[in-house]
Amino acid sequence: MVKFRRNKEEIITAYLCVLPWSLGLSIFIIGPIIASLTFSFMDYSVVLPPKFIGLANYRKMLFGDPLLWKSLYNTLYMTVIGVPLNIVLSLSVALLLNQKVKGEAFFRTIFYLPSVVPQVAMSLLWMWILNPQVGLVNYILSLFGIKGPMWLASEQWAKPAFILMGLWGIGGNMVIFLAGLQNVPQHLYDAATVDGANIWQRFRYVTLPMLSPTIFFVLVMGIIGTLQIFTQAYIMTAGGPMDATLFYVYHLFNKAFRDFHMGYASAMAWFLFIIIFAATMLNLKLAPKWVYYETE
Amino acid sequence: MREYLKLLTVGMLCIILLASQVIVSSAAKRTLEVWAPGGKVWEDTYQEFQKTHPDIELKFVPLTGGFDERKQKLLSAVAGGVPPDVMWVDRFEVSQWAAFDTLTPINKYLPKYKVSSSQYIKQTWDEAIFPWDNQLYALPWQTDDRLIFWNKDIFKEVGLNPDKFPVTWEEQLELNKKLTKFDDKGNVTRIGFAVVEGLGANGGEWVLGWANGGEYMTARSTKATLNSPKLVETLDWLVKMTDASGGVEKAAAFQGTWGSEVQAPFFVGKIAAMINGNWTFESIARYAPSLNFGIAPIYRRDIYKKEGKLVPITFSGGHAFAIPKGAKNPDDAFEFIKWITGIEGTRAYRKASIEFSKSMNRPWAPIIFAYQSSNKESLEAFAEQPVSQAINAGVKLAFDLMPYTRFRDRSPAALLMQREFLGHARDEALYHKKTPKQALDDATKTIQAELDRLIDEWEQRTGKKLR
Repeated sequence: MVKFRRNKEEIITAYLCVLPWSLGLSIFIIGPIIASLTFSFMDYSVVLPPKFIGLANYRKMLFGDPLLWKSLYNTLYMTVIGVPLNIVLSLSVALLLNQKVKGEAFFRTIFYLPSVVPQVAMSLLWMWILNPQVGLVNYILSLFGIKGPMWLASEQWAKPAFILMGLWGIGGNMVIFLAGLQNVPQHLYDAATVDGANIWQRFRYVTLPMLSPTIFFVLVMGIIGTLQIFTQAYIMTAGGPMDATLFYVYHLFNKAFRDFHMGYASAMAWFLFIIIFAATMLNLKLAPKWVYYETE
Repeated sequence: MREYLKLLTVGMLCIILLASQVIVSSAAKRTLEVWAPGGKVWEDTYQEFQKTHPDIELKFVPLTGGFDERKQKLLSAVAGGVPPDVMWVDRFEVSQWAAFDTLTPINKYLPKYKVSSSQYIKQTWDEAIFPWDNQLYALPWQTDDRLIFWNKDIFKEVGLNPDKFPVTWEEQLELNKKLTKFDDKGNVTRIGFAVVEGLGANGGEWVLGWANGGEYMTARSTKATLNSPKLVETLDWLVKMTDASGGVEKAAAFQGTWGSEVQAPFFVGKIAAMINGNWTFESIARYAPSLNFGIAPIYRRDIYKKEGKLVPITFSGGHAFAIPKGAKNPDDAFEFIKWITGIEGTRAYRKASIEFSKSMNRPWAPIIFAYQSSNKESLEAFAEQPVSQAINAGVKLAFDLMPYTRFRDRSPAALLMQREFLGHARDEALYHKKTPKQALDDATKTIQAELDRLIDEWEQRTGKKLR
C-alpha cells in the first residue's frame, strides 16, 4: 500500500514536471497546426469570422496563382543547387580542418564565425559585398579580368548571389562534419593503408561510407531549411528583381500578413508541408542505398 | 509548519484583497490605451494631453517595428478582443482596416465634439473616409507632398540654366540624359533626374500618373483602371527615363552605393535632380546646409498640353488616429484623437519638436499638419528661425501646394495596388520583360480579382450593394 502510494506520488510528480512542456507544445504548436489545417478550408481574414469554403483555397493555389509556382520554382532552385554545393564545400573544409596542423583551432573558429552572425546582419553586410560597383566580389573578379554580374539587381544572378551568400555560412555543417570525421575509427584507415589504398581511395572507401549518416542528416536538414528560406529575400531584395527571389514562404507571408488571406496562406503552408514531407520520405527511402550504419 | 503555511496563506489573501482595492479605486479614473509613436517629441505631446485631461489616465504604448509588424499587432489585438482605445495608422491603410471591420466609424461623434471637415485639409479628411460606406474612420494628423529638387551646381556644370526646370516630358528626358554620368567602365555615377521609387525618387510614379491625367481606380474604388492609356503612357515614360540613366540593373547597382544623412545621394551629387518629399528640406538644413538647390512643383501634363497653363499637382500621404473596433473607452478615445489632431495637440507637438531640435542643436522645419489653422502658426514659428532662403522658400511652397494634392485610392486592395504599381508590374516593364501595356493589363487583372473577392465578401456581410 505504502509502495503504491509512493508510486502514485511519483507519477503525479512526473506529470507535473512534463506539464509545462506539454502545455507549451499543445498550446503553441499542436493547437496552431490544427487551426491552420482548419483555416486552410476557410476564407479567413483574422478579424472577420471565418467562412467554410471547402477546397477553394487549394484549387486557387493549383490553378489560379502563377506567382505561387514561380515562388516554388525559385525555392526549388535554391534547394537543388544550393544544398549540394553547401554539402560539398562544408565537407571539403571539414576535411581540411581535420588535419593535424598548427593552429587548427584558430582556423576552425574562423570558418565557424560567420554562422554566428545573425541572418539580418549577414544580409545587410552582403548587400555591400555583392554590390556590382563597389562590392568585394566583383572587385576580386575584376582582378582576374572578369566583369562581374549585377548580382542582386539581375534577374538571372539574384538567386546565385543568395547561394553564394549561403556558402559563407557553412560553419554549422562544417562542425557537424568535423564531429562525424572524429568518429571514423583510425584502425580502418590503418587497415586500408596496409592494403595499399592511396589517399583518394581511403576517402572514397573509408571516409565517405563512414560519414554517410552525417551527410544524410545534413542533406535532410538542408533541404528542409532551404525550402523555408525567407529572411534574406525579405531584407535584401523584397522578392525582386522581377520576382526572382520571391520564395515560397515570402509569397505566403505576403498573402497572410499583407493581404489578410490567412486561409489561403494556411493552405499554402500545408502544401509546403506536403512537399517537405514528400522530399523527406523520398530521402529516407533512398537512404538504405547509400547510407551506411555501422550497427547493421 | 502547518501554522506557518496557514499564516502565509492568510497573509497572501490580505495582500491580494488590498491590491484589488487599489486597482478598483484607481479604475475610477478612466484609462485610455493609446498605441502610437514614441520618442521625446511624442511623449512631451502626450504629457500635455495628460496635463489638460486629469480625469483620463493615459496608458501609452509606443509602436515599434515597421509597417508590417505594426499591422500584425493591431490585427491580433482586434481579433483577440483586446484592442487599444486609440491607434496610429497610415492613412492610406484606413480603407483596408475599415473593409475588414477593424475600426470604429466616427461620424456620430463629430457634431457633439464640434469637429468638422472644414478644419482639416480636405484631401487628408477625405482619405480617412472609406468609399464603400462613406463613413469616416480616422482623424488625419499630418501630411506631406512631393516636389522636384535639383542641384544647381550640377546644372551649371553641364551648361544648363540652373534657375529653370523644364516642364515637358520630352525636355525632362533630354535633361536626364544630359545630367546622367557614367564612368569609363560604364557604371552609373550620377542619375540625372530620378523619378522611380527606390532609385532616388519618392512618390514619383503616383504623382506622374496623375500629372498625365491618369486614374488608378474608379471613384468608389470598385474597379481598377491601372491599365488606362494615360497610365500606360506614364509607365512607358518611366521606362524611357530609367533606360536613359543606364537601365534598371545599373541604376539599382548604383543605388546600392548610396549612403544616408550627410552621405545621401542628392547631397553628394550622385543624383542631380529628383522627385521627393517635403521632409527633404529639414534634411538639407541638417545635413547639407550649403547645398545650392532649386525647387519646382510637378505640373499637370495634360492641362499644359491642351491649354499651355501650368497647374501644379502633388501627392500626399500621412498618418491618422483611429479608434479600433471594440475599444473599451471610445468616448475618451475620440476626445484624444480630436485633441491630438486639433489645434492644441498640434501646437504641443510643434512646441516639443522645436524644443527638441534646439536641445539637439539641429535646425527645425515644420511638418504639414492636417489641421489647417495650425499650419499658419507653423509657418509663423518657422519665419522666426529661418534656416536659409532656399529652404524657407521650399517649405513655403510645400505648404502652398496642398490645395493641388492627391492621395492614393482608398481601397482594401491599396497595398496590392502599391505592390504592383511600385513593384511587380513596374519592374516587368523596367526590366523589359513585358511592354508597359502588358504589364499593367496583367496587374489590373490581378488587382481586380482581389477587389471582386473583397467586394463580394463585403456585400455579403453588410447586405449593401456596390455594383
